[in-house]
Amino acid sequence: MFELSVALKYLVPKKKQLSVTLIASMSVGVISLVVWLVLVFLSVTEGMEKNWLKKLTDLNAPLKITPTKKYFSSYYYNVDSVSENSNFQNKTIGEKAVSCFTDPYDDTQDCELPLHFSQKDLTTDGTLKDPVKIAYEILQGLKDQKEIQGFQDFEMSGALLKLQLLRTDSPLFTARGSESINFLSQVAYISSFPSENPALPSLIIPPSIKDINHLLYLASNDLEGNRGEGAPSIKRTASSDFAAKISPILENAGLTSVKTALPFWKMPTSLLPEGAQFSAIGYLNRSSITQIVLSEKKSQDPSQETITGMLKKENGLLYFTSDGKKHLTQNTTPIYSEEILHFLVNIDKSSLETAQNGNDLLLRVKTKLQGQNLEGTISWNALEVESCNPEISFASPPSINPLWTYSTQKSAEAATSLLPVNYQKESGILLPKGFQDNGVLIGDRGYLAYTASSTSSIQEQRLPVYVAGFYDPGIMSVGNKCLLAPREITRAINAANTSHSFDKIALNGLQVWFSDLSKTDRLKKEIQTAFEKKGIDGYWEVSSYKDYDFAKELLQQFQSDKYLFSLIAIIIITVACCNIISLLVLLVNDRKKEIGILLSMGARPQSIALIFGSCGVVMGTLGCIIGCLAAYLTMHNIDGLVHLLSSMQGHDAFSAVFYGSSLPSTLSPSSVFFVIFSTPILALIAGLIPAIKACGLKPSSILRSE
Amino acid sequence: MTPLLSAKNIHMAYCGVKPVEVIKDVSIEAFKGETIAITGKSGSGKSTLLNILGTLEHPTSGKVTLCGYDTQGSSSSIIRNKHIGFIFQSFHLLDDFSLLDNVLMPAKIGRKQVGSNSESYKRALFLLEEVGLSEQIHCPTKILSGGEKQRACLARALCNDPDLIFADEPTGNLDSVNTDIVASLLIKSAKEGGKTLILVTHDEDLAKMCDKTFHLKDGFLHRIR
Repeated sequence: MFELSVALKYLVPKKKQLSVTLIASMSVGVISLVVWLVLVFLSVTEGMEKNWLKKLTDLNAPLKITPTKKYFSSYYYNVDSVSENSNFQNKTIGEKAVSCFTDPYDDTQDCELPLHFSQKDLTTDGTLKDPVKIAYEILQGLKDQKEIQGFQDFEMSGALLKLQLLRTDSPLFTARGSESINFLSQVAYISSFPSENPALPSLIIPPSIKDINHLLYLASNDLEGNRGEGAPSIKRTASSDFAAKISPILENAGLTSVKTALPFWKMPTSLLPEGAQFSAIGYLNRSSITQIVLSEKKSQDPSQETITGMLKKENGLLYFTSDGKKHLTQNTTPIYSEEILHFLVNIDKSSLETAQNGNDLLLRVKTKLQGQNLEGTISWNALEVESCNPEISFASPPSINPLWTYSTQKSAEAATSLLPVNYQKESGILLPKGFQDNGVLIGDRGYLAYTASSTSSIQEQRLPVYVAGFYDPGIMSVGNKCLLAPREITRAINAANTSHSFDKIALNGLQVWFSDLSKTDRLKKEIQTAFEKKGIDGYWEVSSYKDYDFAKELLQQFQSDKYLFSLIAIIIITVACCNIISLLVLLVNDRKKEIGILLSMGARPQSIALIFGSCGVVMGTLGCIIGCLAAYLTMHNIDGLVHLLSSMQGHDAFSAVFYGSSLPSTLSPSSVFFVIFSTPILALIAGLIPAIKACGLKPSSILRSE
Repeated sequence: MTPLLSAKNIHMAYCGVKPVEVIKDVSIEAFKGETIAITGKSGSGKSTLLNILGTLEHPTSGKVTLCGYDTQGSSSSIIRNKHIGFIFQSFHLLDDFSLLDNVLMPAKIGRKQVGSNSESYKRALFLLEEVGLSEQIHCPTKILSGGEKQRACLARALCNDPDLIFADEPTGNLDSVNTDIVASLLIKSAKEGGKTLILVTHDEDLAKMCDKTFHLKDGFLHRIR
């Protein structure tokens, strides 16, 4: 195409046409800059939208199937309340799914059905239609086809959560410091623990070092009378219970290092290596050494009689040398380390099984003191955990269950999350991370209080629970007030509150999980169609995350943001492309003679327009390519750039609350497509304006003037 | 015999504060293989008449028929590309392109194949050899001398094998040696190729080399030979 070859010749930088070259470079530079800006901005916003959507759907499931009013008024649902086979109690969806009876009513033993009861919804073979089991079959079919990752029924309830926060400043397994008890009361929504949710393990926050230390503290101390109203008292754990209480923690904590809780830690002499010398201060009483502090400093305490010297171990005996005088120290002379010691640690498993207190727990440790390696076995005395990798995901069920929420691999793709039970047989509950921010730690014990009506009064019931972990609630309708508890708890509370419960429809339902959100609408339609075919569509309402009331506004905001940002992007790309107009006007004036020559040789005016239009497209495309490459590099190194920005500002450049722990770092394909498509088109339009001017030139007048 | 070019009652006036009629009722016919020279004083309207005949300009009134096409009704760019070759006093070569690319440009504009095996490419090489520029085919045109440039223009004008060649003062910018070379080449190419040549010149010798000579005075065209 000769037009393109001419256009390319015109765009090659030339010394003679310095102004055209400069303006062309500027135009390409501005377009690159704008393309880079648009791409980075759109990619980050789209990545953030994806993160928010993930948060939204991770816990709430992208699809929910909830029973309709027809379900609750159906014979199928209500018959349980009049049937002895169902213990005269309505069943939840989960219970219906595993129930042996679709129709538990037995007219030989049960009372006559009330008149207001709905008619039975029968299948073609005359049996009662089971909408729950049919729905489960359909969902299982989808799971078998790998269309969905899993599904599970959920139940919601509410109760008062009361936690007792027992805290201490004393080192572990000692009774040196002071202890305090605080209470935390919070009215909370309770949702049944979604053990089948494939995204749940990623939402659970692993136990922190503080949690592990707290669990170890609680294993050796406990509250007495914590269920009563009176002031509880702290009781030391019986030595016979110590091993059983400590094992679930230390077996699964993945302990890697411990440190001395306080300075001046009493060091076992066995740790000191033979022949090594340490700077030390000896404390004297009537010229005999009563204690030794390993310290590189000189003694500065004039009130004490101290000597500075070196401590050395020779043939198992410790000698303190000061001013050339060698003292043999007593075996009983305590030796302290002035500095806090950090130990790499391996726990002796056999000691764990038989330990009756902290001193029985043996640790194989390694550390450095005054540049020398110390190695040996010590007992757990005034030490605390410094680093650990608690196990939260197990390939096979653990031999001893940890005290925190964990998951086990059920198959290659699916994992089941589990809420453990503690030594006191209390159920673990999972709290939203807001509680963690308020000082709650894993292991804190308490109860869930709810009211249950009896024949004569309404009584408060308490279910003992303990904190088994924290989760990120993402965007949940009830925000930071929804705790996850075993389904027996939600069931018990709801069963007790049948007379004054929340909206039944919102309380019970099915959650369907899958990772690819783009197939949400298709799956929703597919499930609805399958329900329709089986004649159970009246019993269920299928809603996607787009229909959730609490998410609607957010999603609409995302949508309008997207339109707004695209509009802004178009505007700034257009402005950038306007540079092309001024360049091409200059180029047309510069190339008038050539235009005349080409026209005289038979070039059509359209070809002349195309030459200058091509110049615009080439510049737009070049700018677009450079901008895309720059954006790719930026996104690739976004963490480094954010870090640089943050260090320049002196605080976080992007708030973790809003943007997440790190900014999205992948270039959004739709943004790239948008830019690659729109920039050359806008550049062509910009190029056409001078091109139209060029094609209107008359060859005779140009050539005459030239 | 039908003339290749026929212009009847051509008038050309330039509008302005004071309208000027530069061409007045000019009629001219040119047959295949004819060489015609148009002479006249500077500013007499020779180039305007040539532009009108070569479809670069439309007359105020009158009719020009070229190779059977009415230039008012047909696409003048197609007529120019297929049937006309232009030679200008100021050469008007494209500086960004090599000599060969300049010669091939009419073929490129006419969407012809210009690959090294194509007819157009072979013809361009032949023409450049004919005008004695086969050594410089890849040179940029700006390094060529005036005579070489005009010979290159002749090769370019003949590239699409046109029926008519219009030359506007082809020797106007050349020294006497180059004038002789270019003039003889031009006439020779026209005669040998059976092309109709219409040229505008001040050069009496060149005019004499043509079959017919017309003189333009006060807007009227008179045949003087």
